[in-house]
Amino acid sequence: MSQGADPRSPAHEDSPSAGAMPTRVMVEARAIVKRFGSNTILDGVSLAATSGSVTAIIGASGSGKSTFLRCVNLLIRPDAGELFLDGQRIDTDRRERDLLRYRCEIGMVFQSYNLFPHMSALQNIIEAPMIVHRVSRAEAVERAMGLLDKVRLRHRAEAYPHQLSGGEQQRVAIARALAMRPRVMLFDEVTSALDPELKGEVLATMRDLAADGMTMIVVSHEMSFVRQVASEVLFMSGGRIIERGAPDSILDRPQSPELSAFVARIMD
Amino acid sequence: MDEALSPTMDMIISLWPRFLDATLLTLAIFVIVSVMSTTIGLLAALATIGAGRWLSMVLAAYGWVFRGVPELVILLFCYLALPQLGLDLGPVGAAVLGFTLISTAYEIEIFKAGLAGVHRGQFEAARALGIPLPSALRRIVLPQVVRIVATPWITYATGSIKRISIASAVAVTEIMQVTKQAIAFSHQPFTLILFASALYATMASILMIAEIIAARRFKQRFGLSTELP
Repeated sequence: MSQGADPRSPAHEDSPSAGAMPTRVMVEARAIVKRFGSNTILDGVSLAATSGSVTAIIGASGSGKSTFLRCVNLLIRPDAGELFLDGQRIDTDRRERDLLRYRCEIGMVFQSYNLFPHMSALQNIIEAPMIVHRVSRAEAVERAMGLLDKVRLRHRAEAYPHQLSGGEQQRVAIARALAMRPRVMLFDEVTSALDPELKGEVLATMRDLAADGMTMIVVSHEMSFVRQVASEVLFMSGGRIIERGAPDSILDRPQSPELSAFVARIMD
Repeated sequence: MDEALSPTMDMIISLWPRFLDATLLTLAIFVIVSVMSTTIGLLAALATIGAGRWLSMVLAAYGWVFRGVPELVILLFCYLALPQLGLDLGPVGAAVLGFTLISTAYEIEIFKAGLAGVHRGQFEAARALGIPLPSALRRIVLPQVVRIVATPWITYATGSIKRISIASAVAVTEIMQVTKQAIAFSHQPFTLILFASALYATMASILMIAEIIAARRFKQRFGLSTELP
């Protein structure tokens, strides 16, 4: 289970299309490589997230976690490797315009929220469905209000981002991503910019989402959240996955010196 | 007092139609030049987003020439030198071309700074939501650029109006040209230059008030300052 340094992932053998319903692989990345100039940021990173699973990626900053997450939805194009969504191979060489359809199947929430500052919470949520899915305004608003309910912010629908707390902004950002009805959600250190008392509300929203069966890939430093919610934890270091496994085994019984050092650092 | 003032007032009143025409011509040149240079400047700045190094180099060279060479020299070139190349635009046409070339160089810089001021995450969020680039620019990026460039754009526009006085050197009958002509036959430079100043100051003031109103609206509506972050 651990020592997944082999670029071919442990999930490599089960063909993504052959998976039976309960363990269907929703998103799979095989041997993703990314270089910036002469720096190799990702050196053969693989991941297979089954439907409804929560995969947590942990590691020190600079280990390639965020870059990998951006390769999964092709915000960054990998230099090598393959991507599959629900068994379908994604052609990563296609033009940006052709990648948009793939990308809206995969929701993403960012560390810095990235809400559109000139739009109210509601407008932030309805914008993409109206542009991309050509949903009518009435329909988009109805759905957005439902999502605001879900993130417990219905009463803040008309507020602009600057009028919202960080935790509220992040929950609106989650609702905005959900409005596209994604099949997978990516979370990139979404609580790192928040005060401790605001982290809780965002993590609670993410817990609800996991309980609803959303497939999630979460880059996070919130170890108690990772321990409670993640089905699998990947530990990255130097652009590779050094260890992978169940949260308790990864966090309590680290095998590699890198993970031991990382765990020791975050526990105090 | 009456005797001292009335000849001056009479002169202004008799010259008023000419000053009015000159003011309208100044405004017309300003509007045409602003619309063209703003449009071209914005498009050129947008083009640099995805473009390679060659476009940036071409724009840098363009900016270096038209921000570096004095306005008067460029106007004289358009008015006197271009006819030699077979392009005779007349005084007003030459002034419009010259000022558009100059203003475009500045507008490119203003809009490039405006685009750079939009947080990188905004582009990323739009891409992550699957929003095509043209929609993302129109709905998400440009409204934020407008907020960022409001102050520098109006500051430059205020200068633009004043700069049109240089067109008097290429025989455009704008405010300064009419003023110089009036001085030549009335020998009242003090009053006339004061009057011309008042006309320029009025036009510039309208723009400055527009900036204050714009800044206040951005603040009320979005809680966003027009100051650069």
